[in-house]
Amino acid sequence: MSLRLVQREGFFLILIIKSIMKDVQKFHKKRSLRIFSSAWVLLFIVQVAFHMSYVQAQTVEHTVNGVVSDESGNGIFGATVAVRGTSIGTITDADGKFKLKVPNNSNLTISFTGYEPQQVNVRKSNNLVITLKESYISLNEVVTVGYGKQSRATVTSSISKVQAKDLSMPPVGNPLSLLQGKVAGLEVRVSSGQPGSDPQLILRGGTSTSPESDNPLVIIDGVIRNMKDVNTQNIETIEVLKDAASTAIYGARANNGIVVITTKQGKPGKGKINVRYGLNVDDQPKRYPLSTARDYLYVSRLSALHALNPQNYLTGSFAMSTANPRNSLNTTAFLDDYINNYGQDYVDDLLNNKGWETMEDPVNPGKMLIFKDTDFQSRLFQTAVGNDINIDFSGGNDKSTYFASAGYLNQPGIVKGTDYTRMSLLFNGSYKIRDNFKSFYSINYSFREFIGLGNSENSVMSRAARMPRTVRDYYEDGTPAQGENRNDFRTRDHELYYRTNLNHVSRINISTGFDWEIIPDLKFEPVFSFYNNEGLTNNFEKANQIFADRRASAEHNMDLHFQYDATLTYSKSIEKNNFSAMLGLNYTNDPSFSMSGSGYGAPTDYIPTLNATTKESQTVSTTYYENKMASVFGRVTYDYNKRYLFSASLRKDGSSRFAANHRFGIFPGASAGWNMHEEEFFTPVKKLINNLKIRASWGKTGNNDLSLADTEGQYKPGYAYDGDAGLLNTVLANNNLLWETTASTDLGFDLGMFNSRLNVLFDVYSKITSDRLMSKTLWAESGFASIKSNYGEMKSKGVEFEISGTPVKTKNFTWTSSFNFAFNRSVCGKLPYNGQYKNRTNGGIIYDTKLGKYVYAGGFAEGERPGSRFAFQSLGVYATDEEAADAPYDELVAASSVGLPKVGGDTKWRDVDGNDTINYKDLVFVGYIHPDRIGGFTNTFNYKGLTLRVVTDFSMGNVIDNMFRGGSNSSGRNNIATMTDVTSKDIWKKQGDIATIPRYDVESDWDFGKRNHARPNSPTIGFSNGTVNTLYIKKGDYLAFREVSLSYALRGVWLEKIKVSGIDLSLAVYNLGYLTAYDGLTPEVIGADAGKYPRPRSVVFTTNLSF
Amino acid sequence: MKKYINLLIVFMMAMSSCESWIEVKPVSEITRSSYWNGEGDVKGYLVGIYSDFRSMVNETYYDEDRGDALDNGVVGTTSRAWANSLSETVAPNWRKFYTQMHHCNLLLKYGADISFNSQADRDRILAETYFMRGYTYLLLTQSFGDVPLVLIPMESDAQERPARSPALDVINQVIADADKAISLFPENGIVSRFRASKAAAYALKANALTWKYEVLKSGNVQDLDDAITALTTAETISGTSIGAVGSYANVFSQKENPEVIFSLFFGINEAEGMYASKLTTAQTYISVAVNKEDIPYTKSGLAIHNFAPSAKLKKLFAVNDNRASVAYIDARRSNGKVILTTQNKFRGTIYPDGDRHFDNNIIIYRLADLVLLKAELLALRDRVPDAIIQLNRTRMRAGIGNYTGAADKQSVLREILDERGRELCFELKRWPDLMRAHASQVINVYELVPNMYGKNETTCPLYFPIQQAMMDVNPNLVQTSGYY
Repeated sequence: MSLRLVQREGFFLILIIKSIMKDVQKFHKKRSLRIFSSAWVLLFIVQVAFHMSYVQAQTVEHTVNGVVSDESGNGIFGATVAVRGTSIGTITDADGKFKLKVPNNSNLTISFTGYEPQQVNVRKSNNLVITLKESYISLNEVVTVGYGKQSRATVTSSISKVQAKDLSMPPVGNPLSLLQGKVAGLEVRVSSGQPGSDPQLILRGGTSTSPESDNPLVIIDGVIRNMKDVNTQNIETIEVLKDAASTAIYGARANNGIVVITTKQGKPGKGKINVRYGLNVDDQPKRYPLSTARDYLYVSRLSALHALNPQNYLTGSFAMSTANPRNSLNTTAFLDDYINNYGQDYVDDLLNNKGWETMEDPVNPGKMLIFKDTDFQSRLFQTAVGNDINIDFSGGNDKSTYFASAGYLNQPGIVKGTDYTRMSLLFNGSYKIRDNFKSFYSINYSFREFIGLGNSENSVMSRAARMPRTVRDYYEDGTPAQGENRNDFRTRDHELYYRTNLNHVSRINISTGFDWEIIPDLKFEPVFSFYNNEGLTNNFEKANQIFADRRASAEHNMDLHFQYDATLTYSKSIEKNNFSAMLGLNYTNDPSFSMSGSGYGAPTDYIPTLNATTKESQTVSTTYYENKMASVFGRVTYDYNKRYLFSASLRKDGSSRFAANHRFGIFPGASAGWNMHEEEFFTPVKKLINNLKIRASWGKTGNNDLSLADTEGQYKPGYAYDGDAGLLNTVLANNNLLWETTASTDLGFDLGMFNSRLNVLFDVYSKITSDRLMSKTLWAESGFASIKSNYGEMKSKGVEFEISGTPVKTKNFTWTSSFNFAFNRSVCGKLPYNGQYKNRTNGGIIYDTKLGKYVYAGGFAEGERPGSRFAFQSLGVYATDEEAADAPYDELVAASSVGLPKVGGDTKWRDVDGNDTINYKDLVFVGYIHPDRIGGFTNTFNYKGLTLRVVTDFSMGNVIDNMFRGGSNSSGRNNIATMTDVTSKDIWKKQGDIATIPRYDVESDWDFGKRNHARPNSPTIGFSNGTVNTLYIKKGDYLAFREVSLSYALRGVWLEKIKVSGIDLSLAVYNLGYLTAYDGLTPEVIGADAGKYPRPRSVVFTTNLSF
Repeated sequence: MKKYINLLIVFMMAMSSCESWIEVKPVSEITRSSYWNGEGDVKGYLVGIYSDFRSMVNETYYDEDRGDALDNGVVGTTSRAWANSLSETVAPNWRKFYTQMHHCNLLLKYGADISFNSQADRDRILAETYFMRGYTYLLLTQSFGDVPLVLIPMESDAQERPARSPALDVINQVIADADKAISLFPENGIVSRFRASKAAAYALKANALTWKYEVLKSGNVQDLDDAITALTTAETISGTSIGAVGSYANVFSQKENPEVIFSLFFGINEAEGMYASKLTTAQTYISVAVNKEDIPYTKSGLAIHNFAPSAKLKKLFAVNDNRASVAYIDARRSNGKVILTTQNKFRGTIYPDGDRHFDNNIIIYRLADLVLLKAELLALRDRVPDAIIQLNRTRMRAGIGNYTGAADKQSVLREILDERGRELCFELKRWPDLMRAHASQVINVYELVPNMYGKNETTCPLYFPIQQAMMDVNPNLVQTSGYY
């Protein structure tokens, strides 16, 4: 490449960057300062990249033509042809042809994914015909094992790998959401559709009774890191280490598995430039079925007649009542009153121009109501348009490699006011200083600006959406009305108008190290990494009807992570004996500092920060914590002729979180494998089965998820009295705390058939987590709720498999398909003796109809699956008062309804024990909170440059409690929108109605009534939330249509003429919908669904230009 | 090669993890090993105890709900205690009382050995702690009868799980703690009305002795005499007098209050949400009221009208009783109809955020309480004329004149109960008052409390039940008698 060329290319690039910046600025004029600074950094990277390019400039001699084809003679499209040791290279066109100017006497490397690469020496030959042999994909794959890499062929543990090319998603979420349905045994729960939110990752059922918090340890390029704000476009592979033989090398923190993310690195060869732009349009196709204002008024006013005090609801100032003057919070009133008080003209204007309506009052025939119907759901959701721009440069030669990328992502959420913006930079480089000494370095920076719902997700989703539709949306002066005079019952517009939230997080990860081959076969690799997360939040509320005092709060967090790793590796092959040994050490130090302050009383709306608040109102607090860990570890692997494989590792961890006498833990792991296909006796079947490896592994990992307070006890400040500062002992010390340990056994096989056209990975596993670190319930007289203890066992068993194959492969058409499935069964193992049958804790008494006696159920008991859910069984609705007269006495109605007789329209509860009383003993088992079967099915169809991909995933085995629906039907707090249920034929309306949904009362059924819809939870049976009513509990099984995408790879000589080596275009739709029996907005909910930020349906268009 | 072996050795040595590498000195958290070193630690812990005590006391559940002073409010979430339909499945948990107990026991254990610059300072802290522990046991035994006596701090889960001690032992412990406090307080007078004092300790002692005599049937009139003496002493050393603060309304609105012996401090930046917020309303419900601005409503949901002052309570007041309008207020429509009734004693304060916050102090002991308790004791001791003298002291300020009704012991006791009902309504005294009066056969509580009509000792025991879950964790516990 000539110097001129480099300059021209550089100029072109700057043009691109400039135009992108212009676009970006258009989107966010306000953010220009930030854009400017990132543009500066971008230019810096461009310069670095150019600097690298100079190194590669060489003289061009002659042109080579050729064609690359597979074994059946079909041209291979998109194969890379590169001149070794230079940056010269090209890509084959649709017929497999290429044309390249090369220096004399060059060596060409021809490669294509899935095929064995080939070297060709070119002298004068002008027409090369190169046939690539298909490779045994699974055998040549390199997988990351802890502190090293290993060929898939010799790996003896359970590791799943996902390649960048299979990672595709709308750019809204955390990259780990990509793994949904892709890794057998990894449950990825994306319970919020908020851009930038984190999924819950549960590997093999987790290790605890509440697995949603059992997130695996995430290691990005060797650094233990937070999985937030990682740019998907920089990821090369994601691997999941599942069994203890692979994770034991990470010791004390590996209990829940390890996710290893590797970012892209430069490769020797021609420098590459990629520019990628993605546009996505998100929306929420499904809405809650809320009734219209007309239906709401009709039903609510009629039902008000049965209230304790009907006038409260009919003529009060609720959304359905008529004492709502002009410009007040609710719009309902008598038409007469409006005309009399405010004049006919005013009313005409409302009706003709402002969208107000009238209807006959069902309670006062002949009298008209006036009201305005506002669809608050549509005020909540929006169609969001996001942009994702990435540029990367990569390349290298035999001395150095580099990969630099810059990305900008802006993604507004589908809930108004939510937004996520991320800028990221990555630079990965390496330089060979001596033949045996290579240094490498990495800088990764990200900056995010985030506006989320945070803790108010529930109040926004369940309340702002569920304002009665006659609530006023805007005051006459054009400012938003608040809905109710409560902080948590506000209209979304009001909240957005008055509240400003700012959340900035910048994360920087720097690591550097070297790889020194001291003598042949002996390598020393130290790495130093530093990771800083710095977060800033500022919340402010302008003076308004609810908060007049302009309250402001701010927080500054700094979480640092220092990590030192060093490994010493010795590998040796003597004849057919391959041996390697590794020794390593790891030291981490995690200091975290946090400062928070609040105040109120600012004289102006213009200053959202604390400096404007009054001195007396200001409070401030800082905290500093530190965690340290030091570890040594080692591993030996041995194989005989790649046929018999052995590996063993040992790690010793010391953690500052434990009491002095229990600081250290030891974690061993061992595994063995047998590559049967390498045996001579296998030869006859080798045509059919080309690969068969049987694996077995065992290991121990730990969990040190606790704080110093748990081991040493805590005296916590913050208990002020009469102006003095006070402290209290809030956490009991337990000096005897040990590591929680999980011992896992894994048996599996890897099978490759028909020349690896069909591949199977199969594993069965068994895990026993003992000395569980959990809160042990203490007796009330201790004054403490619990003490952190090593307490009992959890046992998990499971099966998982991945099948991938290429059912069809012709010259132009390929269909590849992969399916994975996992089944996990977790049960409580041995629990400490407590005198109860099965040593049950948190259980309650219910009646077992089969045994005909009362039994303890629920909570945690030996041999039982945790997370069982119980509910009152609805047998329908009493049709008439006479029928209800025989109803059993219901102990669990609201205090004000105690002793009142049941009437028509009340729920007919099943009296399980037949004692004529409904109480907690009549609960029935309805299912489990957590699914136990998960999987995914991906199909890819290739026709020439065109690729169609269809991804589905599924989850089965849990139930969801639709609290949202139950809450609406029970008119929680008398001021809530109704759902279409209230007018359906299934609801009881009058004496004699045969119905499944009990009567709707405008007066809160929970506070005053019979609790026909939402029931109280048993105080003993160990779960909380939900309606506890079988009417609202549905199976949570779902099949999600996760992705349908179409992409086209544009290649050709004409592109090369304009210096473009390829254009990739794709159009994808994500989260198209679910096949599910669950009737809420989304079935991706664990437990009770009080209103969730749903995952959007995204339509994404991307274009990728490579140069 | 030797070079490399040396390198390996160095490497190995580096790896033999040094304990000091993982040494972390706690900065923002204090652990057991770094506390209880000096005077400041003990003082700070006592402040914490007061803070915990305040939140422990801040609810109506145990001392008001079961009585006759509350009807259900517009937002009808009342309690099952209020409905008097408690059962073994609907029962409270007494943990919070024992949390306070743990804190007191911890301070008494470690604070006693720490040397202070001034012996008096240490004695006062210990005295206050004894008061707090005694008072907590009084609350516990009033609600549950027999309760476990825990007198050492919780420091290991290997500790014994206690069984319930007889109520008599518990009340004797209260008296012992009160005596201990009396002996330890270095001064007679009140240092701060937001803290326990010797006068408060005397009041506690009298309170406990009365309970012992009336409810636990000690049969020992010496208990009554001791209690009367204690109350006399308390009044004398407290330096309070009825009317010192002016009008009845001022008793509740003034923070520093010469009629109060011990109250718990509330303030917006420290603690708000005093229990009266559950007896008051948000504006949504009374926006059509003609007297809206007289009602202590909150704009937002800070007040939740779970309870309303009861019709029965309203009837207790004579027309000319000036305490009635202070105690409650009716929200009325333009046609005169009552929308709802809210309490009016604890009106809170309107803060710069434009809303009313409930920051009235919770009164533990004030003089009127002591005076009427003394009246009760004197009547029980058959000193009826003396009792009437005491009774008249609160009546005078209320503007209802001297008591002129029947002068027999039971009638006077009944009048004292009613007077306490008027004077001390919503001050967390009603249910224990009714328990005592029922025990002394002044009333039949099952005929007095509407939610207890038609019930009796068997269907509705007077003590609270405990949760099954508590017995599951502590098998030494047995259910309160009367519940199965």
